[in-house]
Amino acid sequence: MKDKTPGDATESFERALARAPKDQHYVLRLFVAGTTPNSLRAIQNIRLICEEHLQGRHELEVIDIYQHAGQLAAEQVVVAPTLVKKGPLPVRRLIGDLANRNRVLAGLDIIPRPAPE
Amino acid sequence: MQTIIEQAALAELREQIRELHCRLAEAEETVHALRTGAVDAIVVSSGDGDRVYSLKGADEAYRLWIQAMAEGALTLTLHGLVLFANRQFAAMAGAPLDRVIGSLVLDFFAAEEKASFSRALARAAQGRAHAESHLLLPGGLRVPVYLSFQRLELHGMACVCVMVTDITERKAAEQALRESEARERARANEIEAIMDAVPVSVVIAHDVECRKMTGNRTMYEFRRLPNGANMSDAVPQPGDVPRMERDGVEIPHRDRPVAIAARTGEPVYDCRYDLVFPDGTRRHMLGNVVPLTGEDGVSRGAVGGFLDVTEFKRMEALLYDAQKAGSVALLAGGVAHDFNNLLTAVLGNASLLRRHVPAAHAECLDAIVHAGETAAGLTRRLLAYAGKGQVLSRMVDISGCARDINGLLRAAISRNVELRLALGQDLPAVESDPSLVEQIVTNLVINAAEAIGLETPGSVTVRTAVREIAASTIRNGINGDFLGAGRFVVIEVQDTGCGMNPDTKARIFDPFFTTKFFGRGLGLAAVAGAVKTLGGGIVIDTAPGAGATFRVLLPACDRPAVPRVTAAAAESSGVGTVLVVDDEPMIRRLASRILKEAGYRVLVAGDGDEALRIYGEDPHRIDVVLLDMSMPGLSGTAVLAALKQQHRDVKVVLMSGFGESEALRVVGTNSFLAFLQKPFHAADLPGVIASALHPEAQGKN
Repeated sequence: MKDKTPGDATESFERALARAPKDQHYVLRLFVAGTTPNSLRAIQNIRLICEEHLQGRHELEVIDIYQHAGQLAAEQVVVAPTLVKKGPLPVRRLIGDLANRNRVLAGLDIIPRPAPE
Repeated sequence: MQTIIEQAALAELREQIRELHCRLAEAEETVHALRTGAVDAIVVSSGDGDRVYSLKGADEAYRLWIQAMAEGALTLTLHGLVLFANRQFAAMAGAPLDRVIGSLVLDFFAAEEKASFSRALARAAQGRAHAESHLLLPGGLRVPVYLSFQRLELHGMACVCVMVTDITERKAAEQALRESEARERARANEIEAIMDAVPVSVVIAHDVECRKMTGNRTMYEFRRLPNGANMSDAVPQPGDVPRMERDGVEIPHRDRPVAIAARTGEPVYDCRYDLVFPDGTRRHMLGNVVPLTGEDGVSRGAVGGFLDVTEFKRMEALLYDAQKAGSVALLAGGVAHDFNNLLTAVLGNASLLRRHVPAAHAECLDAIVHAGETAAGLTRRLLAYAGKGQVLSRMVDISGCARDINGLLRAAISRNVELRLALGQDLPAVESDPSLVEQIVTNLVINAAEAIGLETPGSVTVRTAVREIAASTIRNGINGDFLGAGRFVVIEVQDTGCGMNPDTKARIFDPFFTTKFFGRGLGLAAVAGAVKTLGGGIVIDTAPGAGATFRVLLPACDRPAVPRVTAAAAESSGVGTVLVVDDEPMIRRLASRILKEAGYRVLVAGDGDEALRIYGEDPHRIDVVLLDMSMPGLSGTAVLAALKQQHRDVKVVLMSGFGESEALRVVGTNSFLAFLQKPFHAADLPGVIASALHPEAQGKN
């Protein structure tokens, strides 16, 4: 990979973006902390997003960190709620109640990321 | 070649990198501390200031409780989205917990129950609700659950918490209970059916004091009470209740078998008592009572089963009488045999002597003959009673028979009693021995006359008639059986005497039973024996002081009656040789003398062997054998068979104290020519011998 230029990287990223929507299968894992406020909102928000944008091509697991000790370190989860996109690669983590629809869609590579300011 | 400015900038950058390294290390340390649980709280700063979130707080206890409890716990949005589920719910639903949270709760319920679940959820949105439903497991298994819904505001959000309880065991228990109840009901029905089916009166005391007593159908019918009525004496009973007696004494309430068993908790077996109904009917009861005990073993009532043994007792008495009568008959038969031989000698010799004594002494001999004949009549009655009387099968005209003995009867009864005959004409014949009919009429008339007594004037009326009995409606006075339908000749003997009470009436045919000072108690027993022999019946109509009417019904025969034939008196015309065989020397001597006087040559033999020897010496010398049937050693029957074997044409006259029918029964019809009934008159014997020697001249019956 040594000979790859930054331009190459940008190019492949653009290609990945172009390929991303419509046909890719999503594996999502949401880590929540019992019935804490952010967790409750996060569950409802990710359900809505999945139903609207990933109908029929996603798996969603919601993990109550209180009832799932031991799995957290491997997933590098520090706080809850945390949404982990396990697939398609690359792995991404989103923290919080997932109320900002655009940030979540961008974070999941469902829509292009907004240009950096 | 770096300028100073460049070196300065580089230094600043290095400083910035060092600073960033430090901050990164600090951040990593913070993260590490969080991850390793080295912090207890997180401080969150916002516009309104800092807030502290405890990582381990007061709510942990409740969270752990919810997680650990045996019931399933759910937190749902009002639309049924699972925001929280504990492991128990996931286990009940058969799904991994991480597939449960974030899913729709309806997905875990059976299709037909989704609507009712949604309605319960909608009700819960207003407050609380309960429901029963079924979880649908991946394999298709359905788990019954009880759902308790409660609306809850969580952090400003309307939610519904649901407690889910697995009620598989409860449902199974309910089902088991229902099945057990159904079994109990079926069992109760069976017991009721059994109770109704058994022909035994069953009574149940439902408490120790017997305040409530019910019974089965048989019991209510027996007590003449409506089904289900309380039979306890503690409550007023409709009408009069039957009295419970033992040995004629009323049994007090507390001493009755059911009361004893209920009170003491001990069974009472084989209890006997009489129930006396208001109409006077008395029933003998026999039964057992067992206590009904509760689970603690303490009595709470009793059950008794009782049989009406009135009929059994009656049959038992009849059987006893029959056995008694049977042994008496055996005795009578034995006595009569010996007695007959004696009478044969007395009568035979007396009648023989009568021919040779002057008229002045004849009176004495007549008295002897008369006494002998009376004794012979008594013997005949004994034999008739024993069922071995002479039963000749002849067509007898009953009216003619009664007319024949009219004179005899008048002589036999007291002078204050008038004998009236009202005899039917052209009655059908009865298949009988004439002497049996004579016995029946004679004994009934004598009995009737004796009922009137010696002082009071009275009358005895003998009527004969024919009567059709259509159905079995008439009970035989002898044994209580119904007489069969058919045509009967009736001999009615009515007296104006003292009549009988029921007890006397019931025993009147018992041998040796008599109400008379001088009675022998055999007259009516002989009548009963004779009537039984003829297949007839007796009906008695009597009351104390109202006289008595005996009606003897004898089966009518289609064949016409034949006139009575007496042995022809063939006097002094005997020709031929007679072998007299009898073990009794008296009889041998008597017979020899009578036959010799009649002109016969006589040989004698004292037993069967001697008879065979004498006959065997020269069969052609002997014209007829007079053979006694009852002899010790070789019996008359055996001698007859042996003679027949030696000489097919041997002529034999049998004689016996038992009747001709008995002889016929033993040796068959064609093996002898004539029969001589013992005791016999001197005049009878030559005629019988003559009829055997010259059957063509006699017109034998």
